[in-house]
Amino acid sequence: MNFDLGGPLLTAEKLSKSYGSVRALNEASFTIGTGITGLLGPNGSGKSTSIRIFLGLLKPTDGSASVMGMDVSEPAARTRLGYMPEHDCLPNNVTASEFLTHIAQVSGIPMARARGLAADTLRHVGLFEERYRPISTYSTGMKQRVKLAQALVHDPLLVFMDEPTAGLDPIGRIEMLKLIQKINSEFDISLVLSTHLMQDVERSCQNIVLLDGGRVVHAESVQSLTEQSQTVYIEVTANRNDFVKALTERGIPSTEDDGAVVVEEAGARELDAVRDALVAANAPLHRLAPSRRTLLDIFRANAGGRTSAT
Amino acid sequence: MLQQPSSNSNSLATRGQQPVGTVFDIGYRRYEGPREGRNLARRALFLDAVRNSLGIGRGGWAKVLPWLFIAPPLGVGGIFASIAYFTNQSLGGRLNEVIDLPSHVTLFTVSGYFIFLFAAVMGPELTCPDRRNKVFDLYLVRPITVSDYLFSKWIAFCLMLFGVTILPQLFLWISSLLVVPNAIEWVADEWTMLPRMFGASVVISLFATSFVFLISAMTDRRAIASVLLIGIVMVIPLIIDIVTLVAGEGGYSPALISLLDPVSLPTETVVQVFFGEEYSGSDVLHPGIPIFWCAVVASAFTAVTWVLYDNFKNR
Repeated sequence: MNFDLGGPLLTAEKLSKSYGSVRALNEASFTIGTGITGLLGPNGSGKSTSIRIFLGLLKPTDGSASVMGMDVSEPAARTRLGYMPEHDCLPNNVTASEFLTHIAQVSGIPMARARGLAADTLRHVGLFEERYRPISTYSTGMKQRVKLAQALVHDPLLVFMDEPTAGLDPIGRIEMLKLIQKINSEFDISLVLSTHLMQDVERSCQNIVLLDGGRVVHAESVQSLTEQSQTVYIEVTANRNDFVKALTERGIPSTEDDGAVVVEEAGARELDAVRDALVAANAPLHRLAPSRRTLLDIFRANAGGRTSAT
Repeated sequence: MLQQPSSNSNSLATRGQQPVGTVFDIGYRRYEGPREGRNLARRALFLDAVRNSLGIGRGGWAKVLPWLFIAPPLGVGGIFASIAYFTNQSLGGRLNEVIDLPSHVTLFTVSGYFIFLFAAVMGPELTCPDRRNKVFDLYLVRPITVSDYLFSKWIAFCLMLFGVTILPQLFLWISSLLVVPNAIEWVADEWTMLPRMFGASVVISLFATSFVFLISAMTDRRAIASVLLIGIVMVIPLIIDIVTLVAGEGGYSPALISLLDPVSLPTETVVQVFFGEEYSGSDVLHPGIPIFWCAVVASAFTAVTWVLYDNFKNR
């Protein structure tokens, strides 16, 4: 297999997809590397279309997409990809063990090894004891784990997960998120999560690709995205007006919120200016509290209130 | 879920001062073995299709339906062979003077309906649940194509139909062999029946598979596909009978409309081509028309099926 493992796992270059007059993806360019990446966007932003193009289920109208350097139109490009869909996708009349063995073989794993891999994978997702039960007898949470197991059984390098916590109760959701982190940290498998749940992304993802109207709005690490947008709350015990004036002189706009001076989008330069202004104004510092905006705030700002994310 | 080596002094590992067993978390192990690609995937899909349609590895009820339809044609052939052998023994080798075994043509005509019923009941089982349960999506995100999926299932079902079609014929051939006084002389005369049976069974199974797969592609509900198939098999001969009644025996209309009968078309075609018998429209249509039409219809069915499946992928 001619995979380029040195570069990004996924590359989209000016990727476009139209359904008649509707443009689902509009010259979207981004790369996805190792780790856990969140694919975010409101309904109709192009998340599912992007995933389906990378999985070879859709042909792009224009542009190109590649998986580890291999064009997505090649069936071999899917050899090391896994996919956990949001919808139900499991047969009812077979056992989890039998289903996973079959799926491993369809992925090219010889029969002799497929059984072992199926058992191992079911152990990793916590279904080892129940592996000989028909899937129809499983609970929603167990079915979700079988869906995850089928995405992992052939030892992929990257797994796409579509709304992995959908339909789970709070405990099931926490367990699934732990499992996702374990898959990345212990199994060394990268993941792309397409989800509406911002908390899931903030909790699990290292990187984010934010789509809106088929275009890429942000494609960077979660940390740098939230860092760029942090707000600082400053409280001084005296000389407050002098402090605000010193900030203005240094080109730092500020507002007032319940007695505190607020500096928006405070990066390293802004924090240095705050320090210098405090000294210049001789204002005794009582409290300096950085507050990062959540992904939800950023998402709402970018989506202009059209988001259905929670 | 995962068990760690226990440090508890009362654990199984240390009880009685003798380690009797410790379960270690061996962690995740990357798969370093071979990845055999599309050929293995096709083989896996093929075997899965065979197991599904015969109920192998499934519960008791899953076995009932397929064998309900496989058993009669096989049983008839087997019963012929047994009766022929034992009766011939008791009659001192004079069975062929007492009764006539049915001809291969008769058996093809009779078993044709059982074969189509088996195809109608079990054919949709191979593909409809995959689409209904959306397992089809999971297949296509593996290193296979729509053609790989369809080809594997198609060939599996076709081979099974071929087996169900040819085995009763083989039993009948063996039955005939058992009742003749001079077996070697009989085989020298009748061996040509074997390639004829083979060819006829190939045509019937190819046609029936293409027909069943097309109807199965039109719905993801197995029961609806089966009812549709059985309905077509039952209704079209009725329509043909009505048209024949209205138009009168002979002439082009009944001959042409009989080419639309999915059961009699392949059966009559093979009867004519491989066994030299006349078919219902042979007095007015060129002898090459049924076999040509059979090939055209089967190819068209298969092409439309492929197009439908390619569209399922893009949904």
